[in-house]
Amino acid sequence: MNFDLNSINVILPLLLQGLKVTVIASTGAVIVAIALGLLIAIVRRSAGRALRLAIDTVVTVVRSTPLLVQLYLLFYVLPLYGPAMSPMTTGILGLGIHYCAYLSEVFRAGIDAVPKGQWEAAIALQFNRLQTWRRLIIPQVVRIVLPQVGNYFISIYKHSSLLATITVVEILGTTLNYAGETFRYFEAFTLLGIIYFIVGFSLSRTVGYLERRLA
Amino acid sequence: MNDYSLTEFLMRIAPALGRGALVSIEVALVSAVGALLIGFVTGLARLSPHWYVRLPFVAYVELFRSTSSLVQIFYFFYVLPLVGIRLDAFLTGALVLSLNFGAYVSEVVRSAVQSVNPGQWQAGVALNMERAQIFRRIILPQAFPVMLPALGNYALELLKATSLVSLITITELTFAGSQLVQFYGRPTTIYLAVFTIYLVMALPLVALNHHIERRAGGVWQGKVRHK
Amino acid sequence: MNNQSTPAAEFVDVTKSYGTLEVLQNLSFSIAPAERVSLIGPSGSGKTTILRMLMTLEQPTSGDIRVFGKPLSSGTGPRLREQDVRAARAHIGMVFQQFNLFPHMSAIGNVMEAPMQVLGMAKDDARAMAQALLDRVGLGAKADSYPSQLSGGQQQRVAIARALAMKPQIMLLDEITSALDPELIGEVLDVVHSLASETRMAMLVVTHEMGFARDIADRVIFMEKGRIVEEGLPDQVFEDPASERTRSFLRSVRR
Repeated sequence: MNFDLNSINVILPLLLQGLKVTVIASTGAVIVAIALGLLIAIVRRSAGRALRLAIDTVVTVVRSTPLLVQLYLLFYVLPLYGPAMSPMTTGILGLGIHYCAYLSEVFRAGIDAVPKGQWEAAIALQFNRLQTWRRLIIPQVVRIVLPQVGNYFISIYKHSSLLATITVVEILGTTLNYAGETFRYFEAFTLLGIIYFIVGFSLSRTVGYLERRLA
Repeated sequence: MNDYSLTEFLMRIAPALGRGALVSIEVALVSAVGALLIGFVTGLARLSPHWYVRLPFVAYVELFRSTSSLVQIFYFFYVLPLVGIRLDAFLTGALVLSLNFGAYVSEVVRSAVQSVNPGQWQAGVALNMERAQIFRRIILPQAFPVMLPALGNYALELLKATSLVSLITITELTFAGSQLVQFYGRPTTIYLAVFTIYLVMALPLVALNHHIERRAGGVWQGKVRHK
Repeated sequence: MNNQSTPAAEFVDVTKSYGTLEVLQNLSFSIAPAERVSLIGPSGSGKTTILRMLMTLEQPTSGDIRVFGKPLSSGTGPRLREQDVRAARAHIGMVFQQFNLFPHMSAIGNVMEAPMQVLGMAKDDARAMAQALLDRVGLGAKADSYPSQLSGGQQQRVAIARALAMKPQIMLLDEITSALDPELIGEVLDVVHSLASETRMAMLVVTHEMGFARDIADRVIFMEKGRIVEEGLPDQVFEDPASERTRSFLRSVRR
């Protein structure tokens, strides 16, 4: 098997185009996951027993089932009952919902790690609920959870390749399409692996740096 | 395409989904054993004082942790045959999942061993025990309970990840579901059934992990008190 | 000191440094069989490093360490073989400041472990011996307790029994009371005193308890900044030290 170096000229621009889609999808998904995860963590804190049990059940169900099947449900089943979404929107939503279950746990632990005295200080300063969260608690939680959120962003980046299965042409989808047409599996997949590694490795180094800085 | 009632339809698809679920469990078990073996060897090798021992294992771990498991599966499935290595789909899937999760397990093993107080190793030396004896009798029994919560979580992740091998033609649960959808239509019923079966398979692990997490820390104290 | 018999342990021109920091400088001294030696001095003077090097937990940067005439470690010579090191080390036992009991084994399990694993002793024999040793340190009734269920003083007595089980000829005691609450120190020192009067083990003791250092020792060594400043009989060093540095150290700890 010999590696056709000339094909790199064709494949590389295609893959970088695909990488752009991967990055957009991952970023969109992490924003959805953070928003939903934070919402769950905050609501759960002030919820009664029944609501809390319901939230915990949903979180466990989402965490315990494969992302791939969740994507199939969103992509093949949901449009039968509601408005059709683009594959990209479906993918971002699916990834975001899957990971909001993990992030809600991270945020919950982060909120618990804020010292009790901070809440008492907020009362002493006559802050209202919203002010307390916005001005005092969330800024501190962000510092505590940032490295873990970073690690989950890397997981999302890696898992975003599953969007290829619901016709999103991200970097893996691009590779599968190209290799399927040209049969240059060796070149296309090796280049895919290299690019995936460079981005993933850089991300994990960055998060590692963040971890040491904030520790 | 068909007019079966819901119950009739579920009865019709049950055998195929059941067979698929068994294959999923099979893939998960084989990969779990593989990941544990690879993870232990790698984790211990990475504790070696010699850089040339650590280097290849560090490279392997970084490679597999920095790329997507699905990309790895496709890479092994499409590229290995081109360089003359022919494995059947099941073996390819189990091998990649073993290597992928082995990389994560190795981190768990390494940090658990490092978490054991260095005084324990010194006490072993002071009793003139051999390195292997200190490791087996003193260090590992203390490191193992530290590993359990993380290993439990990875077991659950591994069960979920088996769904990925559906994409390289292994007829496990997800692929069985997709085939049924192609044949019968009715994606709502079929995919919800698949979803539910995954959930049912995961629940024992979820319960086990919950139990491990609650017990974490109190391992040695419990032994005599419960006598 | 007469040198008719082989010293139990011997340091020959030993230097230990971490980077540019010299912890021990050209140290030479020896301990006779059955001799009890106390090492005293301010923290950072290198006392504990001496014990740790005798236990091969640290390697000398240069110089040689011998146990009953056999090389234990060498800072300059060829690397010693693992089995030779273990043969030399077999004569030495150590009790640590932090006890270092094995938390996953009961008290008697801690004592039985090395005789069974290292000496190949049968389980029943090991159990009988371990029980006798626990009786001797006053913990016969706690044989089945786990370390987490014992007080600090009790844990340290188990650690002493564990070290004794290997029948060492040199016992290293490394600040064995420093991690204990004051009211628990006495029970541990009582055990060591009774061992000293009933056995012929050599003992090398690092301690901040000056009364103990004086009572247990045949010879006291005062160290500072990695060097031996002064050594002599306990009464002489404590009552009439030759060096002004020893005098000021003793004043500061007695205050």
